[in-house]
Amino acid sequence: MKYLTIKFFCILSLSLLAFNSANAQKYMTKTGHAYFMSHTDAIDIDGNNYQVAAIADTETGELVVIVLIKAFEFTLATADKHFNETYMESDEFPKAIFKGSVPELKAIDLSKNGTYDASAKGNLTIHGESNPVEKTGTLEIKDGNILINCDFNVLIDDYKIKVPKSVEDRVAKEVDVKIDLSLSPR
Amino acid sequence: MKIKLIFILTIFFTGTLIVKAQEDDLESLLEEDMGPVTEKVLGTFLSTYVLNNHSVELLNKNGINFRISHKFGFLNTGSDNFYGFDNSSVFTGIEYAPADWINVGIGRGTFRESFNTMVKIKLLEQQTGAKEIPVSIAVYSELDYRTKKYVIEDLQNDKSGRIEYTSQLLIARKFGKKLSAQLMPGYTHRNLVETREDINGIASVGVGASYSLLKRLRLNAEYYWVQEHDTPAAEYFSPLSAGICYQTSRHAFELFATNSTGITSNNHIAYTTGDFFGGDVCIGFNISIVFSVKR
Repeated sequence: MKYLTIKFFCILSLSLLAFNSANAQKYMTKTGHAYFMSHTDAIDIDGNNYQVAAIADTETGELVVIVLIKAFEFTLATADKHFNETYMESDEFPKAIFKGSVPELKAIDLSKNGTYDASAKGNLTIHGESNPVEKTGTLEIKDGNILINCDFNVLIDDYKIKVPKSVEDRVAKEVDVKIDLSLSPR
Repeated sequence: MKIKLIFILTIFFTGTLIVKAQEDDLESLLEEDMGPVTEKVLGTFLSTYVLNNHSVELLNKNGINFRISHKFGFLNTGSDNFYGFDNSSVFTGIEYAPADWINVGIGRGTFRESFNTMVKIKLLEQQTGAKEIPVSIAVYSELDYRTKKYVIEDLQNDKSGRIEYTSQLLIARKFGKKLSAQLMPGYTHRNLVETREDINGIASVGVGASYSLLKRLRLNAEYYWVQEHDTPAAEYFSPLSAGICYQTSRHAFELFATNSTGITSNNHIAYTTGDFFGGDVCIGFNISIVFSVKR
């Protein structure tokens, strides 16, 4: 009886330990930064979003990033209305999601500070359209946090974002996007 | 005893497995952490106007709206007047947004020959989700200064008598994706009125509505209940307007039928002499050009 109880507690504590360590492998943020720039000869339109949420699992290398479309802030006064209502249709498609993996997350030593080149591969969903993507960026470990930096281009045609003929020269076909995340242990 | 232990262990491991299975889906885990999201309700109205009157929408910071409003004469004035198209009432105005929550503007209208200044302040913005706000609210206030020469020479220097003002509370809600409505209780004051029988202050309650036909084409309507202020010399009616609103990336157009020839809020609330159902209907249109001072 006594032996069984001890065995039971051993298993219990081991399982709890396993459970805890499983938790510690996840890193997240709710205040990541996304920036985009649509550059044309006629006009530059850019927006900042400081409410990007992301989660990474260092055991599997998985990364999920969610960008709330309505949270973009613009310098140009009239941009936010057209961005949300005409182009992104954010009532219908409130978020953009990246779901994929960063293999480097598994390989690197998270306890040591350092900067690494990294690549992300997965699916990017914007405006309700999903496309497979593969992007490169940098990954930095700093005091136990994971900093992810990534610049890439988005072809708006790929995501079925329609631009009226009358403003074709004012909205770039290829939009530059920058993502800046600082993930801390969950 | 052994059975009991196995039982407990089974429950325990199943529990752990369930927790594990849930955690495996990173996306739902992240969504859970993000909590319920609060979203602004956008596009209650297409432009800063319903038709005659201001809507609850404001220009964003640094935005400028240059607006020309035009109304022809009444259609029932006959062929010698080319069904009202010979007459016109025009208002030209410019509005500016020093911040997201405030718009100020100046303008000039031919109707009763007045200069107009306006200010609109956003108090509340409709939101859904975690922090729900059921309506958007703005206050609107305008002041007209009439420059028309008085017939009575003695009044020529009565500057304050030339002032008329209107203040309104604009309360709007977007119902679903297509329908929006706006309630506009207001008060209009005229410092100097034409006759002894006229009253200076007029209360009014307006309602505006907007229905989306296409993404950028809407059916808009506007009606006012206006406090009775008829005099033996003049009969006044409730302004009623209905028409369409169309928006491109930089312009907004409104084309409508109305019984009111005045264009500012003061004028259409206090001086609507047309009887809509008696055939006193005119065609009006607004053209707004919206741009940003920054870049």
